[in-house]
Amino acid sequence: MGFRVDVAGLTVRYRGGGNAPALADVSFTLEAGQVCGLFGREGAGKSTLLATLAAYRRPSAGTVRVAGEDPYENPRLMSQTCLVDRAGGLAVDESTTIREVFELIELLRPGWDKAYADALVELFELPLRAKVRELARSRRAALAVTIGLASRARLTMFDEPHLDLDLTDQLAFYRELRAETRDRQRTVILVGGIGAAATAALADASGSQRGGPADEAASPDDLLDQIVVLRRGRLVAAAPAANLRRVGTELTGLADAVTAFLASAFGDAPTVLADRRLGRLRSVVVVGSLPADRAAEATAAGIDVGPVPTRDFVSYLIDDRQRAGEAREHSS
Amino acid sequence: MTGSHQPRPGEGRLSAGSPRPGPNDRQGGEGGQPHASASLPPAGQITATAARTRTADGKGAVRRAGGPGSPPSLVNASIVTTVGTLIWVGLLWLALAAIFGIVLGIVAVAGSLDSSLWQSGFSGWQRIVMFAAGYTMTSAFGPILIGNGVTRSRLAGAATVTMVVLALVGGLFVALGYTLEGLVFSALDWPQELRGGQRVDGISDIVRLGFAHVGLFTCYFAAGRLVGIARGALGPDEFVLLIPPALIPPAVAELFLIHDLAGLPLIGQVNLDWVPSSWAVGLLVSLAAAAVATVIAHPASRAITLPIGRQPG
Repeated sequence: MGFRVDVAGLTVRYRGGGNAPALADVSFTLEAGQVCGLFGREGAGKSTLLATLAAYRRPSAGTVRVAGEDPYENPRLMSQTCLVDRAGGLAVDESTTIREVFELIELLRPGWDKAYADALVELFELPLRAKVRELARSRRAALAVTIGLASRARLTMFDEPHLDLDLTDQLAFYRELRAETRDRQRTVILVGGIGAAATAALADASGSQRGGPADEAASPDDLLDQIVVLRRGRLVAAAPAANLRRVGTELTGLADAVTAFLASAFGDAPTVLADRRLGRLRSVVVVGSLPADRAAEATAAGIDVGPVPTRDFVSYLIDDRQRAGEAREHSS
Repeated sequence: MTGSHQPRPGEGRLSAGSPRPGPNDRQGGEGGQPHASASLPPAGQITATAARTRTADGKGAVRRAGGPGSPPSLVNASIVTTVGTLIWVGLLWLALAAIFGIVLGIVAVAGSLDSSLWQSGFSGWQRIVMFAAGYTMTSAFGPILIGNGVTRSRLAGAATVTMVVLALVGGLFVALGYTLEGLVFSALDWPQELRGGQRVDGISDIVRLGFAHVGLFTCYFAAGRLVGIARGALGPDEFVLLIPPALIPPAVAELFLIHDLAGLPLIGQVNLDWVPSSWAVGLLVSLAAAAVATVIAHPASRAITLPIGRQPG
């Protein structure tokens, strides 16, 4: 079983970082065995949050608890926590070969599964004799995710290496991660969630298999139990993914019709996450769901009503420019 | 599955040693999809492969780092820091030995010497190498070990082991250099004298020099380590203030071993008659200084922050 994570009022300030903290009063809980998608733009504080969970640094204020304990200098928790990033997450000398990297980890990681690592090496076609500096970005990413998976750490965090994988490897990673979390109940934090390309590919696969048990293997959204969104060091959202999937509604239609319907259905001040225009058409993403009768009313008015995919919803939360209407799309 | 991916108790089938279940999982994402997934192994297949491999002999996977719940041992952490240091220091020493042999050969053929070439050109600055090695305990090995779940406390223990090993091997290396030089100088009837005029005469002097260098190297390593910890804990600016106190151990060693090493240009310049001339005393004082530095280093290591982004305040 993975570790439960409790973050309460977490604040991290940097030396020379001015008044703005890297993280400010962040609180959320991740149950043991859950998979969390951590989202935010660059500088949002994602890596700082993970570094604190991995005991790379102390919080400036607030508390971090992993399995109910402070992970900092906690040998039991640290040895069962693994954080990998796009660089491979090891800080080894670039002249080190992949084989040597694995030998090094085998010495240090109590849960390291060599047989699994060997299998992953084959899966991702990692050249064991290659030096780390010789690896292309996708191979380096493959090395990082191999380390993360084969560490069998009870809290495993992927700080975006999976986003650099080739599509084929992303899909393979997704499947392995899914098997690991289901069969070993590891707690996993995925920065950026599943890559966009993999999401699309898996969504296609899921769509063609809907209605059958194969859904379980292919639906991308199912992997994430919890979603945490950071913006400029502050928590924007922390909620079960299933809840977020129901939160947003997208209305698309003629601009006048959408405007009128918005006012009638959501009042004078709806929470608009995105507002895009294309010629006479307007597409608005609002927080909230429509009851069936209002949805039918919208359809009668020529407005398409649909749910917002989790990834899109999260991207709206992350990017406040869209909320302000700065990202409106105009036909040229 | 349409709900969230909640773990289900009793599904740890891999740990139970059974093959990966679920033909649906195995076929997930394939089934004629236009993506590259058609070439992939079935979902979770390699997880199953690993599990079968692990359970086939009934002994479980290779876990040299200890059991799944136990942190890595001091031995393993020390192997990483010590071998990792000896790799680059050893290569440096090999190169140094080769160059020394070449230079000594050239001088033997083309000229003559009346003082130790090994001291003036080769062994003297090894103290700086030791300082650098101590510094890398935090700057290089800190991220590797802490990033792999090793506590700072264990890192500190491993660094201490490395300090002892490296000082002993370094002292041996220096002694071997003096021995080789002594053989050549003796054959050519040249005096093997140190910078301060002390003559290296016989194996006892070489042993004395070796031990003196053990003390010296220990202190320089300890100083480099303290500086590395200060930088790792305080960041790239504030740590500068702690450099002077960190240099106390090597200063002590240079002072109390000056009669044996004559390594600094102080001898003959200032009155050092009050310094005990016994090399054993010098060695003990040096080791005591290094021990104090090590005692300080262990708790101070707990404040090391890994260099991810900027230093926290």
